[in-house]
Amino acid sequence: MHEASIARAILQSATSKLNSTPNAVQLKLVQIEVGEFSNVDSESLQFAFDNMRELFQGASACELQIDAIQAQAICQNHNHLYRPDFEHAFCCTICGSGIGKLLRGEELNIINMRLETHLPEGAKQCTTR
Amino acid sequence: MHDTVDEHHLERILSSNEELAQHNREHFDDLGVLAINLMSAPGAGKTTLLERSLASLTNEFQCSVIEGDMVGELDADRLRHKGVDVSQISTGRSCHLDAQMVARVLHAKAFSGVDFLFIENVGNLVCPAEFPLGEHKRVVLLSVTEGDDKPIKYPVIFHRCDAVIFTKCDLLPYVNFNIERATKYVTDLNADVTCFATSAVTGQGIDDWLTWLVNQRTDLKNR
Repeated sequence: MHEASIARAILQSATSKLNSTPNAVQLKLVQIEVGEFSNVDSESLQFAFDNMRELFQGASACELQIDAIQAQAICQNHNHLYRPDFEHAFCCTICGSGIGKLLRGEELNIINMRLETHLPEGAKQCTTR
Repeated sequence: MHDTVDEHHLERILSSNEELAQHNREHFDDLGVLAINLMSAPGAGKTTLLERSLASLTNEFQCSVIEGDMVGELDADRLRHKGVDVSQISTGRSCHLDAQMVARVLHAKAFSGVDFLFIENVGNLVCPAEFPLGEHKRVVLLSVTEGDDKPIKYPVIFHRCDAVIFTKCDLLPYVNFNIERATKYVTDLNADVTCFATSAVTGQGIDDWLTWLVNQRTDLKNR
């Protein structure tokens, strides 16, 4: 159940961003990408996140959006591009040789955070960063 | 006035573990110690392989062990009887070691003069694959009693390792385990892996495994 460790890491990173952003008051959304070869179960991660978010200030209403990333590999023998899957024992679906290099599928990244900001009365939102 | 703002940025979720793993690696390199992360399902024979390996290695080399278990020091005590220094990490309810746990041990104890540091991870074929510890080499054990299909059922850990050790090979006549099929599954997932067929009971393959270990240490020293 390492998804609990991953949920905690997401919330620590997101609340750190929240605390360092001027006028940000709470997290609305964290969007992550999870590759097929990352050993992460999305349902378990969602469960852990939903049960842990209230422990982090500013994250109690935060939603987690999980984008699944399909794996893509180059095969060992002919440099075919293919999607490794269990049905083919992760071998090339064209020539049957093994994985030469995994190009995609190991992602475990935060890609976006949506923060709610609260500007004081009369203040203007700065549009440059 | 409430508003929302999107902060688009790419950040690895486990970057803090990866940074600590790099920190641990610098410790290992400074000490000149080869660090090996041993991973497997529970009961595959990590501790028994270590007992057998240490019995030979300690004739020539200084060895130390970091023992990861959820609870108790049963495995650590077995290895202490081999005359090596063992640091216990009790993970409680956590199913894997992480870089922070190993860093605490490295900061609490001097490992100067040690040639080999074996880190025996918690028995699990899933979670340890996601948490590098700073080790130089990742070694996965698969016992023949578990079934030859394990590499394709747990592909990630076999894809990300440097060596696979098939253990308990003295039991091959009694179990339905095809070692050629298991080896093909592993090498199809990982073209660079080295495989060993071993038995801690008969000694089969142990010398090859120890030679590989010594060669890895020589490579580290020659860098």
